Amino acid sequence: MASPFRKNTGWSQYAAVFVICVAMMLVDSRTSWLDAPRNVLSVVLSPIQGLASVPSSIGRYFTSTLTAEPDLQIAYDNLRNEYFKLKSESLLLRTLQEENEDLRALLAASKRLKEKITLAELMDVNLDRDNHRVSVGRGIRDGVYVGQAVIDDQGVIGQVTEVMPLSSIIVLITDPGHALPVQIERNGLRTVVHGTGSVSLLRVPFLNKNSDIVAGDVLISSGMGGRFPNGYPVAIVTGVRVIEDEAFIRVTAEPIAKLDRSNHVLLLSREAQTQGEKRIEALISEGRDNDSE
Amino acid sequence: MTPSNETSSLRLAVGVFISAFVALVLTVVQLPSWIFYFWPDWIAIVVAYWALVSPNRVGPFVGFIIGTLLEVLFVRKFGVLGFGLATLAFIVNGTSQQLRALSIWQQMVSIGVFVGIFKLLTGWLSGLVAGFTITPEYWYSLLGSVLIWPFAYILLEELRRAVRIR
Repeated sequence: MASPFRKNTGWSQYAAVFVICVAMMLVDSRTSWLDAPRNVLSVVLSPIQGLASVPSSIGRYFTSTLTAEPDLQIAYDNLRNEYFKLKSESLLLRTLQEENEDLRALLAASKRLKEKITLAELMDVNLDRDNHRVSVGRGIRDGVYVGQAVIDDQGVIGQVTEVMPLSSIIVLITDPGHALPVQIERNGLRTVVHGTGSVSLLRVPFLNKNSDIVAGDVLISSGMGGRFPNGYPVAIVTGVRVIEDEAFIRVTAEPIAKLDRSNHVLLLSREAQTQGEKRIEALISEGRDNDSE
Repeated sequence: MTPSNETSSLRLAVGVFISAFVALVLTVVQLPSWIFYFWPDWIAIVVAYWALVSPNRVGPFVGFIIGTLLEVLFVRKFGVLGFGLATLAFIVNGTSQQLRALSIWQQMVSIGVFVGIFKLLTGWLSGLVAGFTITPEYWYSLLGSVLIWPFAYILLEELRRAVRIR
C-alpha cells in the first residue's frame, strides 16, 4: 500500500519534499505546464465543494419555505415597482444611445464597443480567505475567458483570473494584489485604485497635494489598459488626508459593489471583436509571456 | 513488513484520508462574517494531529500530498502549501515525544507556535510566487486553530481508538 505510510526517515524525506516543492513553485509561477493536472484533480475534488455547500443550501431552503406570505407580498410589490421604474428608464436610454451615436459620428470618434453580458451565480463555498477571490459556476464551457470584467448591479466586482472546465475564479478589487485604472467622474482625473485586503477599503495612491479630489467623489473605471470597459462605477472616496511631510496625499475609498453580499454577478465580454483586434490581443499576450520568462 | 503491519498501515492511510477529506470540506464551507477570519486552519490541525500520534509513518511526504490537494481546491500556485504542511509535519515529528508528555494547555501553545510557523512560511512563499501580501486578518485564524485544538485532538483520539489505528 501507499509508500507515504511506510517508515518515515525524517531529514531525507523532508529534503526530498523541499526539492519537489521548489521545483513546483518555479515551474508553476513561470509556465502553465501544471494547469492540466490541476484541472483533472479539480474535477476529482469537486465532491468536496458539493458537500461544503450543503449547509447553506439547507439554510436557503428553510428561509424560502418559512417566509410568511405578507413578506413575500411586500417583496413582490417592491420588485414590481423596481421593474416598472427600470423599464421606463430604459426607454429613455434608447433615445440617449441613438443621440450619443450621432454625436460620436459627428466627432468622428470610434464606436463604443458593445458588451455581452453573462449572468453567473457565485458558488456557495468560501474559496480562500487569504486572497479575496470567489468562484462562479461558469467555465470554459460557457465561454468565460481570463481577464473578463465582472460587475454586479451596483458596480465593478473584479476580474476573472482562472478558468476551469465548469467554474472560474474571480479576483475581487479589494484583493491586496489587485489594481484597477479609474477616473474621477466629476473631472475626469485618471488614477489607479489598489485593494488592501479589507473588504470595505481601497487605496488611491500617488496623487499629489494639488490633485482635485474630495471625499464623496465617485470613481469610475477608465478603460485604460483595455481590460475593463469604461464608465462602470467602482468606488466612492471616503477620506482625503494631507500629511505635510509626505509627497503624496492619502486617499481611501469604499467599493460601490456589494462585494461580500451579492449572489449573482455579471460577466462582461466584448461582443464585436474584429479579427484584427483578436490578432492584436494575441500578440500582446504573447509579448507578456515572453516578458515573464 | 509482516501482514499485520500491512493492514495497520492501510487503516492509518484510510484514517488520514477521511480526516483530511472532512478538514477540506470544513475549510471551504461558507461562513457567517463574524467567524470568517477566526475559522481554524483545519488542514493544519489534522496534519499536526497525525504527525503527532504516528510520527514514524505520517511525515513530510503525507503533508506534501495533502497540501497539494489543498492547492488544487484553492487554485493556488503549486508547491507553497505542500511545503508548508510538510514543514509542519516535520517539526511535529521531531517534537512528538515531548509534545505527548505535555498537558493539553502547553500543547495548545506549542501547536499555536507550529501553526504560526506554517502560516508565516506559506504567507511569505505565496508573496514570492503569487504577489500575496500578509494582512493583520491573516493571523486571526491562529487563535481559532489554538482554541479548537483540544476538541479536535480529543475527538480524533476517540475515533482513532474506536477504529483501532495504531
